[in-house]
Amino acid sequence: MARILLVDDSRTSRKILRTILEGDGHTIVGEATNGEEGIEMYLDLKPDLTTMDITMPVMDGIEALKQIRNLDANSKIVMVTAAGQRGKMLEAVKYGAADFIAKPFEPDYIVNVVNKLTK
Amino acid sequence: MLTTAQADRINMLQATMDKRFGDIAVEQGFLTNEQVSTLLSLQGNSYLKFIQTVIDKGYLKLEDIDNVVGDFKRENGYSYEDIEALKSGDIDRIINVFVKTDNEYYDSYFAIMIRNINRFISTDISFGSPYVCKEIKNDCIASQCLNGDHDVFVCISADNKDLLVVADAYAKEEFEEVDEDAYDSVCEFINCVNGLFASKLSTSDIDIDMLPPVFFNNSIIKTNDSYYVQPVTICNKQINVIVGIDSAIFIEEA
Repeated sequence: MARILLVDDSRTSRKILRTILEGDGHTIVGEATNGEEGIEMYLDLKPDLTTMDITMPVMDGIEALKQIRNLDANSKIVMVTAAGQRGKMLEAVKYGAADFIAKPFEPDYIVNVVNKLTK
Repeated sequence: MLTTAQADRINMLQATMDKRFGDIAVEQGFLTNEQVSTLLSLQGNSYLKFIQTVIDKGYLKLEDIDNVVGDFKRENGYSYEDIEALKSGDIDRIINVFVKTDNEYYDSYFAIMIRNINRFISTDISFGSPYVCKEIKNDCIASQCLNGDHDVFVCISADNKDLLVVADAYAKEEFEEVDEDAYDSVCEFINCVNGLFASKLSTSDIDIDMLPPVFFNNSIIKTNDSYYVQPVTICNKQINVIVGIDSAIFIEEA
């Protein structure tokens, strides 16, 4: 089972993701509330997979994705998006996002995405 | 389909034999098999449950229901189709009757919001028609702006602790106060709805981007233009869904 870092400014979103992923046997190794904090925690924790919200204050998810991928080309980062963020999704693909999770969250879909990337 | 006397007789017979209500109704010649099937498909319909309760409690007789519904229809200027939509309990049909503005984007937004309240927050909801407003004060306001081809302001606001009806249901926990965590839950719900709205607009090549949500206590939502307010009652708690499209909105402390 994977060690996962959650990066999302919304406590509610992190809580829902934690419940879904822990329910599938994964371990949440850390929670960051913006991109900047996410980069620091990534370097410190070296998770198997990171979920990264796109819209966040201080530093958004796209910038954090870009910086983490520059530091570690093997990083697996799944972007968390609200539906309708088409432009941001294309940008995330360009910078090496491994996959996407859309809100509202569908537990089965999330588990499939994470398991596919971490097995 | 059934008179009160017929229903009473079936109830009386059902007390003396191990048969279902519908089977007895058919045996007695009160209903056809097709009518029973139709009625079974309507089981769980809130309008029928309400009417049944009104009759059971003795507030009205079955014979009076049609007259009362007729009066309600006339007083409110509803058509036959409007009343049938209300009776159906089908949220999409009800939205089509009530949620009407002079702008298709507002109609579309409110429809998405109400469907998702029904999906994620509670099925115990009622709502009137949206109205135009320039200024409203609420104790608690959770908001998000979207910008791009259109500038959109959205908030869910309420007085006292009524906003918790959304916060509790979406986060699946019980908040005691409308604190930062409760606001986070409401903001996250708005974010999801706004994403669905943005997704719908993108099919018409309209691109809008979402900014991080923000919340305000005891404030006035103002504009020099106008915005729409959609009142929604959820589990007896009153919230306002406020949307301003291409209107400059200001939030001022009350």
